[in-house]
Amino acid sequence: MICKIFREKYKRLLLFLFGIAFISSAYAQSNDIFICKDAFISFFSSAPVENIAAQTNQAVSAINMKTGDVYFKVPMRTFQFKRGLMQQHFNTEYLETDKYPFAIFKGKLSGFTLPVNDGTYPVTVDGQLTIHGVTKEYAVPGTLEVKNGQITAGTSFNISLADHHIKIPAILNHNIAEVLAIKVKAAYSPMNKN
Amino acid sequence: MHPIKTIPLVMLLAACASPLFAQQNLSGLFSDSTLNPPNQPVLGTFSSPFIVNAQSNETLHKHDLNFYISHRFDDIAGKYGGVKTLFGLDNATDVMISFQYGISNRLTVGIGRFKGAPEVRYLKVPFNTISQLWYGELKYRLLQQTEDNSMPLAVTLYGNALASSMAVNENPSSDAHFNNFGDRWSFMAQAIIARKFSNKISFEVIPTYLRRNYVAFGDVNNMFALGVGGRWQFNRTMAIVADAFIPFRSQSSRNYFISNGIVFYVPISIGWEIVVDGHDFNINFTNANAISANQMIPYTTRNWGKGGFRWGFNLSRTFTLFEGTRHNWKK
Repeated sequence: MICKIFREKYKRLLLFLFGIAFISSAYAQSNDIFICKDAFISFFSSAPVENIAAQTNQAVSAINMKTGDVYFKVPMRTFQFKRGLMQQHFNTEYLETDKYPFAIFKGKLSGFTLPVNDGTYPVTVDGQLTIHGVTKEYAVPGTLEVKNGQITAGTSFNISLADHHIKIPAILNHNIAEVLAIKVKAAYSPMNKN
Repeated sequence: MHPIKTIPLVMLLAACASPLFAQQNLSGLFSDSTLNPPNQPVLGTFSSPFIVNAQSNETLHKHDLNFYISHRFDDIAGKYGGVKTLFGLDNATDVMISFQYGISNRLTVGIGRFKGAPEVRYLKVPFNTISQLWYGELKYRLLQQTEDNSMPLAVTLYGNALASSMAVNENPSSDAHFNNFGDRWSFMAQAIIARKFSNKISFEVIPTYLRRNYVAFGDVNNMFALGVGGRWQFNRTMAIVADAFIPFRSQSSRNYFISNGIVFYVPISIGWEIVVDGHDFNINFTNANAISANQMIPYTTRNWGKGGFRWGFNLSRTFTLFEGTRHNWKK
């Protein structure tokens, strides 16, 4: 009998503890995580014959301000070029976006300490960038601006086409630059407000 | 501590720690199918709006202006070719100059001019004497093949109208003996049904209806034809392209022409295509004298087997107008 009562109590206690743990974890998680669903990414290269420029504002990103984890996912088909034919060749011949639909970055932010007050922080982003199915380590400087619970992040860096096995046909060797300048800008809001 | 009391503690700790693990998997916050829907249109079934003599299913991109010129020489071999005409280079059987413009990504309009390919060998039966052709065309991309095959085929509609500006031929049995302005016209309608089978191989079939308002005795005003076309891209910039049309001429018309010593052949064209960004160059061999499908389909009388093929080239250059207005371009 006593044993039974104890079991009932125990069950309730267990449920209560689980409830608290669940709520607190969900709360902590969404409070630390900031999300951006319209990250802007552009690339540019200048070449003797023709500049190549494209941009998208349909990339997605998330930052965990507690751990410093950063994640970017870029749907490659959303890159818009000024010339439709160039956009088509980008997809079919260069990035092969039917096989490799996303560019993905997984990394960590460093250069700020918690709690983060309003202000602009120079940060460093370290991680793996996968483009065209080829992953390479990057460490690039960026800025993190915190204001009224919103975060704006930005960075610019260069990538080499050869690093990601993006081949230029021999006939176009002098028309396409080997290095692209990438710009990233993303405005984040807390996940629990999304 | 009593073991049973440690269980909830462990579970509590695990529950508190779980967000730490969850946080490392930020990738799970976004769904692939929203970011990159699986029904993306298949791009680049053909490299340009043209194969060799046939239309491909491709339309121009919005605001693209295409300048397209095409040239056919005379027979390489046989009775009319050989060294004496430098393998046909002395004569041009047809010349085309044209412009196409992309009103939207789906709708392309074009205008142009053909020299026209009148047949000079059978003047006793002047069934093909029309030259100096002007044309206008409309091309509409109706359906796009999708990457997930929810739409397995691409369908493009094509229509053109040709009119001859030549002087009326005095010979009453000539097809250029125009009685009125309407006699100068011919029209073609096509449904281009295409599929890109892999990154290298594309095919299409082209059910075709051809209306010629005025034809010579024994010829037919209305004709159906079935075209086929294909492309094999063998490296980044080069492809082999080919097309052919089977004209369905009535047996009585066929017999009439055979009795006058004229045999019609299936126009078969094969080309080597080099694509570099906005340039598309193609060296081709074909038994058709004419570049315009309105003349090529009913009037091809040269035979591959008897040296009745020629070399020719197609050359196109695409320019983009109003570059900045394609999208909401940010500086």
